[in-house]
Amino acid sequence: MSNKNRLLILNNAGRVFRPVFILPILAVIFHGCGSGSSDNSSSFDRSSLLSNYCDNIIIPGYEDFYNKSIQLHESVVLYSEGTSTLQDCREQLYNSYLSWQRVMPFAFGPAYNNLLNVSVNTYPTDASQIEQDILNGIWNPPTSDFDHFGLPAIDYLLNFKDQHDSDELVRLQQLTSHLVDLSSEVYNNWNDAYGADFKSSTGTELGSSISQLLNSFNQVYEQNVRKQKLGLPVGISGAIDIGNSLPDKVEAFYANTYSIDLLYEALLSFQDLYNGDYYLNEQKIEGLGLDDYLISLGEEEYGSELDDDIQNQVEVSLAAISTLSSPLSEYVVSNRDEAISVYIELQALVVLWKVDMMGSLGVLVTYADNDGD
Amino acid sequence: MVDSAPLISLRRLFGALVIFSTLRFLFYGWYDCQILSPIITFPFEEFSFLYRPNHLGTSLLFGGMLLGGFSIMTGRFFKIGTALFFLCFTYVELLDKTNYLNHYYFVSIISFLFLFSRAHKENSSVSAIQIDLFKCMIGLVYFYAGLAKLNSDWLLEAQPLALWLPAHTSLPIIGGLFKFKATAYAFSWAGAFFDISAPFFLLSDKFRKWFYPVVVGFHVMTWLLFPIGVFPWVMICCATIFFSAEEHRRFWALFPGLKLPEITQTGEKIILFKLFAICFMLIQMLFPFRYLMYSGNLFWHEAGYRFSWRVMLIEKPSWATFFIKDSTGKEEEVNLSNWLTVAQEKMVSSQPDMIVQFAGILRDKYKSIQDRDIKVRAEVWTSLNGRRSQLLIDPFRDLSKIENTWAERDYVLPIDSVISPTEFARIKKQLIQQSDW
Repeated sequence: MSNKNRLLILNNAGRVFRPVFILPILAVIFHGCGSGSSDNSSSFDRSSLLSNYCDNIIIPGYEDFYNKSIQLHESVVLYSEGTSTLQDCREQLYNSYLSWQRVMPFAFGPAYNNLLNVSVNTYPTDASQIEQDILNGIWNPPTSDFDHFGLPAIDYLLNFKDQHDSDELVRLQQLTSHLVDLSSEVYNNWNDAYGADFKSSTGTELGSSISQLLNSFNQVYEQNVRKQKLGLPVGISGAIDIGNSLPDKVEAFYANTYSIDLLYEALLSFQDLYNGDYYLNEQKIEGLGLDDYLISLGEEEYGSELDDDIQNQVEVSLAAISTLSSPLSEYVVSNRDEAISVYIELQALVVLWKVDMMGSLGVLVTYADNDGD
Repeated sequence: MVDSAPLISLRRLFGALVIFSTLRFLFYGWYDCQILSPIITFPFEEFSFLYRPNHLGTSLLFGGMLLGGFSIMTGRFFKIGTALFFLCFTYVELLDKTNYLNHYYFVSIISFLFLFSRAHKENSSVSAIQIDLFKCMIGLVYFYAGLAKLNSDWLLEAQPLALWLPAHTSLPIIGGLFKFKATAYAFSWAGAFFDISAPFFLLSDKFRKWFYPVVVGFHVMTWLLFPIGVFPWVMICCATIFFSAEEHRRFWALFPGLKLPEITQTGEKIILFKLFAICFMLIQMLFPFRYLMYSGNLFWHEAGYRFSWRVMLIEKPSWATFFIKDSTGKEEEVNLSNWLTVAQEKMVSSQPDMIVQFAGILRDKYKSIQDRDIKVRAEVWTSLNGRRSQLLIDPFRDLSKIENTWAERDYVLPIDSVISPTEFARIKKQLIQQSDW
């Protein structure tokens, strides 16, 4: 049997397209029946959705990342003074990495203006350039080459070496203090004017808050979660001449032990974001999210059915990530096929979010510079 | 022979609009992002012999459009100016399918018809069929746009308006209505009725007067709601052709410098014009029905979709991943942003013929740049008008072997062949092994 036929018999439930030329009366009846039911107005409260995202998820997320950056910086300062251990610094780095996964999806507005995402987590990091920076001793904040700054550079310095001379310690402090500056800037932006602007732009047109949020959500998931955290290490996507694993492309390569934790945390972060859920005193609270937005479209294929599929696929993907064993850099080499099947689950989520969800919500995200018709 | 006033009005208004439209195009810098900077282009296969213009060529083309537009507006050097505009404008239109718009096609057609008319002799009468040809063409655009709306998505599901209208809840006064699905139904049905009936109301001496404001209202509404550029204004101007010669004269009398001169000459018959008009309209009437040659859902496979006055009918978000493989047997993913502009990526992702065209371009580029013989396949997930996503084309077919022809697109999967992304992910390996890929 041909593959095409195999695909055909799997399911046969699509909404069929019928050209109608002389059936307007029938359609009036259809329409008349339909308009009585309650699910026929998409009166979803976008304003509350944006408030929930801004007040309960985004701002607390940045606040946490800011605090974690301060703790990391302070631990490095204490370590330089000899009053704290390297182990403490490494633990703080782990916490910063985890916290970053929670704010990574918001790569627009203040984060975009401050080059936050590229500054914090561009990897693999360029070790020889970091050594060069240490020799130079001068601090220049990054504007284009980000691959010797941020968490990956700190990962290199803290985890590649067990001893640090004074030049290295100076560089470490410059890097951690850079994180503090960036995160405080973005956190304050959200707290001051941007958060209010974000909540007040309740439309769905190009450039509206929901458009920016969804665009970033899909971009970051596709590029920075699916592709960067797993795709590139298993050698699936990206540049030419791939076909074998690239273990040095894993996140937090020098720590080496928690790449999988970060992938898992990132997906949890997207799950909570999709559901609008947040945490108060470590207690998970259900807020208004994209799931509710979809459900508000009714019990249709692009409404609650789609939400069910997304929820399932997120659970399946989380379970799949749990089957990976640490360190990821070794696993992608020794168990490449298994790692690829985990990647495939992550890939399926891109379709559900980027195509199905976007096709249902009618939010414009394409910045194509042209008229339509 | 009849008073040529309606024809002269159309010429003046159309000329002014194409000048405005060309300047707008230049102002937004689209000559750069649509013509100069793309790495590759997607010409219509039948016109792939056209050279892609460089900076100088582009300047000449747009200079030609402006000069030609000026000539159409004023009627001076009319024949040569109209020919210049038609050729330059159509040349640019044919360079890349990505930028295809029905109203560009419409502008090409109207300027083509002007080539055969005597719209430049303002004091001369013309044979009635010269004006009637334009009425037929403009009426056909409305009528066919209406016919295209008579499908189950538009009428029974109110799609894609049900997806688009809720985006405009912030519009003053009427914005609040857009959150109701009933509004999408009302707009869908009213829009279909408007398009189909427009030619008849405009032809009727009794109804024209009150229907024209409806035309203006309809087009202004579409201009407010959708990013469709100058199209509404083009139609508002062109629909004036239906007014009587006296009404046109009274209109231009309002502007002292533009008053139409009295008719002093009897127009000449243009040889074979009637034959030309009949043939042209026959082609126009038949060509949009070529979709009947193809089975399956027209909005899905899009064979016979363009050049048929199908406007605002589909919302088709799509995600395409292209894979290549050479003789070493290793599969690689193609980084689309290395090749395509944002607009091209959007179109290539959802239009089957452009998917095939892109595969062919990749095959040729890899051969000429790296001397590698590659195969190309694509996994394309597409959602049409609010349906769940499905595979658009056969994901294991070597697309580099397919040539775009007018034949049935057998590489497009039927729209009811639903397989979910998760199901596909689980069986993909097994399917790949069974395929020729």
